[in-house]
Amino acid sequence: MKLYQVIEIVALLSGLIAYKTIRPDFLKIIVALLFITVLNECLIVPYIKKVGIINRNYAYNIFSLIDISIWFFTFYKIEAKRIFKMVIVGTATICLAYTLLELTVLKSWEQLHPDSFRVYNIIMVGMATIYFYRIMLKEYHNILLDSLFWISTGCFLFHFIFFVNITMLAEDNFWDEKTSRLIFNFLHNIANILYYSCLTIAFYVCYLNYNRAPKKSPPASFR
Amino acid sequence: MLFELQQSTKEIPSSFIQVAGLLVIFLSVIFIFFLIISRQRQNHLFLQQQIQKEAFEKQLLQSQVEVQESAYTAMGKELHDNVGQLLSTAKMMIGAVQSQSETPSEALRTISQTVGEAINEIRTLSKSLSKEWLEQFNLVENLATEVKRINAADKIAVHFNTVDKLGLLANRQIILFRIIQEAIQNAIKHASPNNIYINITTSSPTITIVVSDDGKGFDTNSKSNGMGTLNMRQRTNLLNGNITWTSPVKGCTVTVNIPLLPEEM
Repeated sequence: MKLYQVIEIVALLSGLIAYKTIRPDFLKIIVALLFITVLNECLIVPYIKKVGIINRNYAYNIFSLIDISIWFFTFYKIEAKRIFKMVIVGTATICLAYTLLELTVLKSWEQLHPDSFRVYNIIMVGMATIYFYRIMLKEYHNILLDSLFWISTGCFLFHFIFFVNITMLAEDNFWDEKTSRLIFNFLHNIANILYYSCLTIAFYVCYLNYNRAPKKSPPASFR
Repeated sequence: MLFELQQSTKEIPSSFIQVAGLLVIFLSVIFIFFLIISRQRQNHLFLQQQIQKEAFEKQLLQSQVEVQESAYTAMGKELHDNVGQLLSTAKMMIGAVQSQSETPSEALRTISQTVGEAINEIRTLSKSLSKEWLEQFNLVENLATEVKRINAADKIAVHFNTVDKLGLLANRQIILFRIIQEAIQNAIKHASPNNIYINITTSSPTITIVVSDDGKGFDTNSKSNGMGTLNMRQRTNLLNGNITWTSPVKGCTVTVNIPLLPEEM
């Protein structure tokens, strides 16, 4: 088992343990995404590799479409302002349309879609940055106990590093380097470690907040 | 996620690209780190401002109370020295008229008696307004005097039930006394009760004072609460306590909880 698979499983397990305590409720969808991720990377892809009937990029491409949809849905729910919600719907439509265009017309399902994925990376970094900006505007906000902050941080770090990584990958000069694959793997590993660690922290924070919150409703005079 | 890791080669990576890659990671992590630090600092600053604001408000309240106490003292002095003197003169003149006449009328005797009572009332009132006088006695004694004064009028019966010793600091006793005084005055002025009950209990580390009446009650949700209730709330805040008003249908109950200071326990 590879390192990133171990971290994925740890994040999924922490999500499952904290499942009942995850607030806001829409964040529970991330546990489902982690389940699909683990299923894809630990079972489906190794099986396809072993059997060798179809190209494994089919699995990656289908998974990336699910990943994009879930993350757009999550940030749509996180954003409170109507204008930002509309921007997210717009960018999600463009991003998904471009991904499908790249997969069906410009390239094929047997190839990965780095160009549209870079667009997705930029949008994700943008959405996370908007969230950071919003919490900085607040008078008081305990950032360390905010699960949405940790989720946004995970997305920001992963997509920022991944954008640079795929961009380097697209450069012909990069492949002249004998060690380019090693660098790609190194950055990819770091991005995954940061991403799944942040998701694990977010679940832990949910668990912590749930157990700190008063269980009984306050008496009428305090409401 | 998404792209599967490939088998890495064993060759040593070129330093330039390795440094660039590390720089990307470093910059993104640093960005998050500074974001957290900056937000925490902002939180800290906000909390400090809140503490300062609270301290300032408390100081302001303390000054208001001191100003009010001075006004009360001045008023008490004025009553004693001015109105009291005028009444004493009046009583003396009535006495002179009475001694001049061979058969003083019943009306004159009643007038003399009433003026005498007024002089006593003013003396007691001026005493209860004087801070120096209050500082000489404890809250229980002061309240007992106040209760006696109201009961003497024979219109409302005040029932006072208390513990022997409260242990409150003198300056805090005065503030608490003013709160109770205001509660009694409010009941007399607005509720027309037959009975007022004052109950003081201590359950360390808190003193609970309950002032209730059997008057007509009032709407506790009404926004038009006067200066009296505002003063009571401010004074309670000054003692770090809390105050509540309840008025189910008839009557009203004011409950004040005051936490004792370590030196008062």
